[in-house]
Amino acid sequence: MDAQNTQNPQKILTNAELKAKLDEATKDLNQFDELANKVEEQQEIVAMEQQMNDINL
Amino acid sequence: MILFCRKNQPNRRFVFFGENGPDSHASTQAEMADKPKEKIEPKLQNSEDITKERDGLLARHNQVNQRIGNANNRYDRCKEIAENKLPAGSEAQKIALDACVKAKGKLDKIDREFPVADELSQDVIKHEEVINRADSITRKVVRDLTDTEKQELEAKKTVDSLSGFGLKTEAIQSIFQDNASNISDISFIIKDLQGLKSDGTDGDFRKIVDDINKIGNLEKFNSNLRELGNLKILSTQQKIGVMAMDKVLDGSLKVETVIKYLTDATTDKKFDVGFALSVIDTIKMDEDIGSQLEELKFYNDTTGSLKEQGLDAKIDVALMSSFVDFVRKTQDLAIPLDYKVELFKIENNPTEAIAIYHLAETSAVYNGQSVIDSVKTIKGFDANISKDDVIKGIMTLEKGCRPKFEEGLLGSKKVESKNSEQISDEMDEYAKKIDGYSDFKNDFKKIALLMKLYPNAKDASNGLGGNVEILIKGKSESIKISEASLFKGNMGEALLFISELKGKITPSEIVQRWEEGKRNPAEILELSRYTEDYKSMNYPDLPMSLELGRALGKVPGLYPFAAIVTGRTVVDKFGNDEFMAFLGDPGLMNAIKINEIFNGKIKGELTPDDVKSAEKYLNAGRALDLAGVKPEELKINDDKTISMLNSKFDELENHAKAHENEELYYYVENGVRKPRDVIFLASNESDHGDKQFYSKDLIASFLKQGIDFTDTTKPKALFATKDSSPTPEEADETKKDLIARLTSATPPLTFTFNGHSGSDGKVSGIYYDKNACLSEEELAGIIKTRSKNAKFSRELLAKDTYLLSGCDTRRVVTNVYKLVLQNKDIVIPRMGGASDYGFKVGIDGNHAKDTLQVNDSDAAKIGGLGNLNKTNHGRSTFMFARNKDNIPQQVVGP
Repeated sequence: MDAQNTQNPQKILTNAELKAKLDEATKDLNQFDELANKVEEQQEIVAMEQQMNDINL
Repeated sequence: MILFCRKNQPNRRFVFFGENGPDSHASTQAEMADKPKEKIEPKLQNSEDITKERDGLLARHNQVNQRIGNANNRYDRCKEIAENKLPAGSEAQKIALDACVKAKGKLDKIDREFPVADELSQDVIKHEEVINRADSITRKVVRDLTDTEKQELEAKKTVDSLSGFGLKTEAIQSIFQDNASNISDISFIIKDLQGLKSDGTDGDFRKIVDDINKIGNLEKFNSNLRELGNLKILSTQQKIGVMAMDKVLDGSLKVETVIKYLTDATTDKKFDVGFALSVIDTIKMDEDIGSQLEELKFYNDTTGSLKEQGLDAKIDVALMSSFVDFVRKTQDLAIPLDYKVELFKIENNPTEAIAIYHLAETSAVYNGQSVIDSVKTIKGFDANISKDDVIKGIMTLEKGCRPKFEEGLLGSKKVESKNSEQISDEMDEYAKKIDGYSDFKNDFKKIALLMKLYPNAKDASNGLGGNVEILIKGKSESIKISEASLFKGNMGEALLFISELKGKITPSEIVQRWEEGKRNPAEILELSRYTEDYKSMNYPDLPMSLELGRALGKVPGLYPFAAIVTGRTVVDKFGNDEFMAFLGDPGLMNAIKINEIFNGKIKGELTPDDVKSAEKYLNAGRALDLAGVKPEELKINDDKTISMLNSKFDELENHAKAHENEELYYYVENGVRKPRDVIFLASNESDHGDKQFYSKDLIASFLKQGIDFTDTTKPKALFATKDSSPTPEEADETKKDLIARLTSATPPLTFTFNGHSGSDGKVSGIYYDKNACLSEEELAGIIKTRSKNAKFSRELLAKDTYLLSGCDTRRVVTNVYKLVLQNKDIVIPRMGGASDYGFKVGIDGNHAKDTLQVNDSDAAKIGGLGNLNKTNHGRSTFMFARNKDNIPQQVVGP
């Protein structure tokens, strides 16, 4: 074992730990999706507003 | 042997031995029958199961990984929409951009945390089996132990108290839930788990337990740990301890784990005292580890520059360490701990050195990470030692933390013994000098000393604000220059760590918005939610605090926030109470109102009505700064509003200007400069040095102003009780005399105070002796009485000046004003102080002299008080004077 290797000892993920990480990532992805939906929603709203304006014109 | 899994804990595996199982000698049938029945449900968890479960998880990993890829693509599209597809500046774009920032945060977090496939390819089976094995033996031993008479103590409580130390905590806790044992029994288990090898046998285990029985040290160890827990140092350590020691379960991982936690400077799992203790004991328990560490040259050589030694990092750790209290308390508790001191010479400064205190068993040069407990500078260092060398001297602290030099190393050379003696003497003397009356409590001074290391640092012994601001500046500079910095590239992570760990809002978002100029003072209130976190997580919050402090510190008038955020950690002096006290500052609430009115109109235009509604808040001059409102940035198109605003801002500015040249100890009447009646009250305290609050120097400097406090027959009188323990009658007598003189002094009166102030929990005011306080109510009463005196000119009464040099004086003054403002007939006097709302100040003679402005006649003006804040970073000296509406309005202050 040399000093370099000791800086970042590899971590063995147990099943429980891996599961926790997967759960966490899934949670984050779900939250991401909500945020992305929000962005896309804005585009739709703007498009709708434009349509409304067009109709009024 | 059968393996079971508890129904409510599907991931926990416990091993039970049946009566016919191996090694069941300890229990009789009768004893077993008395034991509570375990509610268990058989479920085999063997290698096959582990592998099967792993396969399922790997398949899921693959799915999630694909989803992450999709999310990244989707983010690019969203970014394009937000930036280019939505009308620029529209509300929709604002919402979309905001969502993008948050979405990116999520992706970044996933990027950091989500394990790559490579990490999962290792053989998990052996690892799991080791844990299984540990549980198995634990179970066995516990059952044996419950058969003894020792089992009457509060097992659950005991287990809880130890649960952070890397036991297989859940396992042991579950087992102990319905049983009882005592602490030494549990110690055996801990010890065995830690020493367990994967090929261990039950016989080996019994031997280990027997061996442990002979080690009296464990009791002490546990005692230390408990006391650490009591001292609230444990919380961080517990987090680390669980992670570290769980790994320690597997002997093959033990060394790496210990090293990782001792050396990994980028992790948020920072080293701390409590953790060091547990690591040290771990090392002690296993001689093999100790020798392996030595072989790895874990203890660095002492040659090289300060930077190479990671001194920056050490200082960072030292700054936030609550070790001082820890030392004190452990001494009080008679917990034997040894400490050492290392000396580091300051480059290009042959006559000073820095001493870093740390636990004796650890080295201060653990690759830049260490238990750094306290930092001092030493003057009068031996100039013969080359200034390019770094000196390492090892000292052992005697009780009371006075160092006694034992031996020193200069590179590989021994330091001459005469130097050693000299260092010891100098250090001892200097320690007394710099800490003086308060031993290690004078953190302000220490920080100021530390700041000498940084290019931008200035000696700021005059209060926390200054120190913190300097710290921020010094720190940001050190980030640039130091490769060894703890915070390099790590701040954002730390911020995320905090917020996500606690599931609260992201301070990084607040910081970002503040930096972008989108400032909402109300957000500061949200920060109070972190104060609890601060208490439990000493280390991760430092980067956050500094980051936040840095951002806030950029905004003029906001350094108090920066100070509160950073100071909380740096000096560890600010508890939740102080933080909340600061948030109670009406100035802050005014700022919030202004912000709501002004910045809330970013999209629209300000109207005259807006200005009118903001006027009363604007009257507190300081609030404008706090609100982050820049008049030139406001969107105003109509002339009336512009005129109103200009008029208001001019009024605020002119109010301050009108007072600039007003003198503190003289006044002008009909063109003639006349001396005021001056009454000076000082805390009488000899505990912290002889008459520190009315030193000869201070009295002499008053004399330079023509104020003679040596003649007590005159109305200009020095007040202080004769000794530090007056009887209640004596204190009362002094108070009566004081109030009589204050109420009868001819206006304009100048009343100056130097000493302790704030609240003792019961009475808030200024303390001129132990338990002898002139309360806020009494101060207000004096002002009222003077106002009612028909002989006094109201014009001159308005020049009455109260200048309080003490802690938390802004609050005292604010409260007094609140009381006197209840009666409109009272003439509002000038009142000022030396500290911000809820803040403490450093106490030393210079500070008092500065604040009381008696050093030279030019400075003894109200404008001079303002200059104090300019020349002394972060000084919180302030002064209010009534405006045309008889409302106190700030003329000096941050």
